[in-house]
Amino acid sequence: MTLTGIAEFIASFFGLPGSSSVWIVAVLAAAILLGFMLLTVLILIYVLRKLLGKIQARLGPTRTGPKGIFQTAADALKLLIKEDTIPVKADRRVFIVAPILVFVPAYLVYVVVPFGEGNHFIAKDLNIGLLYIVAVSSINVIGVVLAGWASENKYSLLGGMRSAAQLISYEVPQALAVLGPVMLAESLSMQDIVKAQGEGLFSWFIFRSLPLLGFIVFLVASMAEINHVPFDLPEGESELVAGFNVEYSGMRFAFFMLAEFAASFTICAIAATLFLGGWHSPIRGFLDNGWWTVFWFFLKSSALVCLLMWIRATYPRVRVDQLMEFGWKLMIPLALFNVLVVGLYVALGKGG
Amino acid sequence: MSGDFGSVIGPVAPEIILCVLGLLLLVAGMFLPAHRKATIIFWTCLVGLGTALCSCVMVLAAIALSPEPLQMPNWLGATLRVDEFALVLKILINLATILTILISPEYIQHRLTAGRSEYFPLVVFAALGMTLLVSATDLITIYVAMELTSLVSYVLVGYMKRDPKSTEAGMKYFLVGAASSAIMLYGMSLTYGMTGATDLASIRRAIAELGSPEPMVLVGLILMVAGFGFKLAAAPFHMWAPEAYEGGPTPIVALISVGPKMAGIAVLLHVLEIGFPEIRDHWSALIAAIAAISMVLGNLTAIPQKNIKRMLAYSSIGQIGYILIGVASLPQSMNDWRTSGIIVYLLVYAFMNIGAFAVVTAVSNAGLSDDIEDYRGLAQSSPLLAVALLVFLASLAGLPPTAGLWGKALIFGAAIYSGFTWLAVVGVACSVVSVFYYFNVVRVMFFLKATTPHTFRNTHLLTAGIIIAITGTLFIGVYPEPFIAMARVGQDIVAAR
Amino acid sequence: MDWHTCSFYVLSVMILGSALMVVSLRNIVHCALFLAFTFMGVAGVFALLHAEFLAAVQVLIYVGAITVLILFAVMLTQKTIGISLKQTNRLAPLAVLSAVTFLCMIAVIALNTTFPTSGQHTVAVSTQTIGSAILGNGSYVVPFEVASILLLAAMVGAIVIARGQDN
Repeated sequence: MTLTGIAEFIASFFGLPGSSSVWIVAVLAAAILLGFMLLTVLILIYVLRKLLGKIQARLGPTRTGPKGIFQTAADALKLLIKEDTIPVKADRRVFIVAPILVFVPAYLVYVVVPFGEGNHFIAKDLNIGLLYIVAVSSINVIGVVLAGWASENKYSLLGGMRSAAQLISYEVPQALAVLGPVMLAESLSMQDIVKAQGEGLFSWFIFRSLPLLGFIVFLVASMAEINHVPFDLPEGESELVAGFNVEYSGMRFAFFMLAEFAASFTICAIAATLFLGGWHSPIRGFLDNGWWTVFWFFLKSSALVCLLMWIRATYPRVRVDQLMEFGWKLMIPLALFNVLVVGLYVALGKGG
Repeated sequence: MSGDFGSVIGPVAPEIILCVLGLLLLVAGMFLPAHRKATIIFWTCLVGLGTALCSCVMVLAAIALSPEPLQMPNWLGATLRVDEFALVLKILINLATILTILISPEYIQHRLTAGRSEYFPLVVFAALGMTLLVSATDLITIYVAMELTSLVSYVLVGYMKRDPKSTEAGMKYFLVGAASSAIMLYGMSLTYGMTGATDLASIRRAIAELGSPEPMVLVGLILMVAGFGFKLAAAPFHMWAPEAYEGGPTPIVALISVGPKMAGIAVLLHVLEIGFPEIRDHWSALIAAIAAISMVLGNLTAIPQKNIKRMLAYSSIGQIGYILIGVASLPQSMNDWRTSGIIVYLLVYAFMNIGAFAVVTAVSNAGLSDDIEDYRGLAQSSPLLAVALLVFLASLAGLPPTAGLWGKALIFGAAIYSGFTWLAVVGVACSVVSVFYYFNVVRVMFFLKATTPHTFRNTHLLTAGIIIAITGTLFIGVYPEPFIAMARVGQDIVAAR
Repeated sequence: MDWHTCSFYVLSVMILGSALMVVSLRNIVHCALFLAFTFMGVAGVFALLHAEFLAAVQVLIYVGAITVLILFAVMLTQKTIGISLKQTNRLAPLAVLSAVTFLCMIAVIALNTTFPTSGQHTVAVSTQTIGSAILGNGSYVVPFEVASILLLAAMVGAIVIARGQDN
């Protein structure tokens, strides 16, 4: 049963006009995505704890539920019922708005993520899908900066400033890196990009034109975009206590956490879509339809998520000046070089 | 792509040369060893500008000599049009830039604490913006090229960071310029909304189809003209000029007092003649009003000025008034001697105004201030500078045997011929008033004794710049025919009509 | 009123209201925040006109980059919580007067003008169309390239102004 079918059923059940089913579909899709987002984050945090534990030769959570699987839920519950404090000197209104500005973009990105083949597994296949992702995820900087500023705390202000500089710097290589798949697929739509990689493992964009470079630049720049280790300077706990969110507690803090983990899943999903063939199976035509596509998609995304966690457990944090040098003097030239090579590849491929 | 390389990029060769030159100089400033940098950058810049100048002359010759009209390469679309008019102005702009570069090195050595190696590429980018402006025939191209010129000018005017006056000038210029760009863009968007086109030829067709002029078309045109007026420093849009002229580095002031005016006049002519000939009566009156206000306000306000750069600022507001008379009295048919008045005036204006600012640069290099008071006894301490300034001021006032006379004569003649007798009368009256304040400076230089003697040791480059300017001013003054003839070549701006 | 018109009015109120806040609030960070909302409203209008590409670019550049830079600059230069700026000076009444006069003039003229309309519905413009309009043969390739020179020159200029002395 499709969403439209459900929506029509609901509309007729409540005696609403037929035209309203469009809106009901939208609301349902939004609700499903939200639920999905919360679920992924719950799982992600649990896996992260377990995996970090393994890498660091610990056990991770064990007490709450079998193997500690309810630990995250318990923590979430704890955060929700905790006292919500706002510092006396803080700018109340901005302080309240900031977490929302961070959370909403992270949620909106899910709209164009293709979880599987066809229209059932994507909320809306916008024809500018990829540009939409880049645009929407650029909004969250404002939230981070404002959170740092509104807290009226030196540490949080420093965190906010660092993140503004970092996010603006790494947006450039990230946007340039996604140009590679766009040029190869000749489309900005996420589904079109996936469909252009349907010829098995070696048609994936990670292996086309200039192998690996675009993928690596994208992944590294995206890690910087979501403040992931080793680029977690905005919240560097040894220098800034906790960075821009130091004054936040309870529900509002949960928003920041939620956005961060949701984002770390989305960049893996996007990287899988752009470079690893999305929902396509690695062997052409093998188990490449229906729910299998969802399986492949989640397999690839999860592998990338684990890669990110591995990096998190391994690398030390970079310094601010290293971060800027790395971004401007290495990542951007590399990304531009990649654009050049892919452009030549496409142009010559067409001509010859 | 059809055609050989030459015909594909040939017509825009000057722009491409300037663009490459600017980028080259930027990179050179980054990598060259510090002690050689200044010299190499200066000479590269001069040679590059010379090459651009030559390429303009070559394209002009190619157009003038070939029997059939020049075929513009396809890739340009409707954005640029290279015609004789544009090319003559491009030659003038390159010439003005070369003169500016010639008078710069010593001044920046004395006054600038930072950005010495970025100075030359920025000047080249300004020149690039102006050369693009004179052949732009599309609203978007006009806007972008104008912003290129303006943004570089803002930076260059505020270049002396240690000098509060320069900083203030840059800031003021920037704020007024940004606001005026907004007004111009609003006008452009209204025009686009009414006509559905951005290139001037299509705009003209759309207006013709509308039949009777819709009032909104007029509003769009008025707002655009207001925006151009800001760039031209025509009254009542001149507020930024006195501060920018007084505070900015003098060689830059020489450039921005000449270059953007040529470019602005060219844009105005293109927009009015190619885009809006259907409503000629409306804009003719509008330009006439702006011209009259500029002349009266500029010349009267110049009288009490104590600072020579401020005085020249107001004088240039008056000068743009004279040139606008030429625009207002443009005839229906462009193949007419009246168009050449504008071009001759711009040519003459380039020589005399840059010359005047070159003398001001020389005086301030000797450690004197820009107050007219400090020019006491200049005739004794440096006869060359005093005589040079005398020639330039006489030319600005329009006295024989200098070139200024011919510019004014052609312009006022055109006004009378087109029925703007009152404008010509105002212009002549203002010229008489202007003699008063120009010769106040002459009086101070020649008839007052210097309080403390100064020695002038100017570099050959600066002297060369001044001599080129004097030669130009006097030569055109005594033998104007070839230049009027050259301007005639350039008057055919609407051959495609 | 269909939902299209309805959304247009909602967006207009959002744009105008936020813009009014930008020029009247006394805390400069709040102004910047409302500026972001104004830009988002404009992006919404673009989306409503089926110009999705423009809408996304509007968000990316104006909201994601320009507003952030403004906030960044504000935070670098001063401590702003608790500082209340006055956005007007003694010329405010005159400015309001001239602005209102201009508005009335434009309004009267707009009401007396018949705007040429194509009589067709807006159609979605594909990204390819925009691409070839910017870079194709006989298109806006010149202004596009000039714009990149413009940005380079502006960047160099800004760095020169902001940087310390030559060494």
